[in-house]
Amino acid sequence: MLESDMELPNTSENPTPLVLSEAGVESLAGAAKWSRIFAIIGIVFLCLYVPLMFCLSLMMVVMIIPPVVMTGLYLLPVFIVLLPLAIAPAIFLFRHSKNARLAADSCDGERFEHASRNMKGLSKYAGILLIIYILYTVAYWGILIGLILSNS
Amino acid sequence: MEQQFETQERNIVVTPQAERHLSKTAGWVLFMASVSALLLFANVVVLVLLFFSLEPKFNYIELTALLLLLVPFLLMVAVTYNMFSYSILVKKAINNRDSDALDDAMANKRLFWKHSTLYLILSFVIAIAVCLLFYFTHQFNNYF
Repeated sequence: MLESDMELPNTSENPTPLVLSEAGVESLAGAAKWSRIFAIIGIVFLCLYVPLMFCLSLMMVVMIIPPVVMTGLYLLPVFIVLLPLAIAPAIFLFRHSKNARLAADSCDGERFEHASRNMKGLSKYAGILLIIYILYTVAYWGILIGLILSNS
Repeated sequence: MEQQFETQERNIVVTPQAERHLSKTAGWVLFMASVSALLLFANVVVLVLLFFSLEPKFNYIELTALLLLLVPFLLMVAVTYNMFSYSILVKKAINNRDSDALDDAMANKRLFWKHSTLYLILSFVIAIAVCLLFYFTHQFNNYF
């Protein structure tokens, strides 16, 4: 089936299929291994870091020194939102690493497709979160600078 | 026959659906790499300012801390480079039907995850090391 596909003319309807060679498959297996380690460490860090930063920003909010309170007010919503949202990328990454490893072991195109779909989900999710964070930061600093300028 | 089986290469044929996923992934990764590059530029500015804000009397402890902080910074540079390379190579592989570019993209992807993991571990370890260094040398008194 593969050979017959390869013999098809190279048109836009039947383009030459991309083939991941043995070196590519080895790299895929390596990527699967490292992404799994990253996912495990990421989850452990999230479990430690996010609640810690949440408590720290809460402490900053209740302090009296204005710059510290402002920093706490800036960080607190980020960590409230981050805690439930942070688990989804870890799930995507776990699925990606699992399917990538299986694809590398069995040289299965379907498995590779599943791995690619989860990688796309992860990058899309992280990208959207990044856009929201940038907008939030710009809006926060815009309001803050506006307030400072209006008071001076 | 057995020998033929042993020498058979391990290949994966990329399905059109997987290609679409890879293409979209490359787009998002390119966006994140651009943001990361901007943040790195901001980091360079901060590091240079920190370096020049060191007291005229040469302080080896502050300089050691600064050099330690350079390690995660350099790893982040590597991660950003891998992200750019990965997205460009995937786009090249799909547009030019170039399987070699896809192999290179996968090699970059492996390096990306490797450097990201090292960054995650080392930035945590170095942050603790710098805090301990400042604590035991009473450097905190200079700031607070």
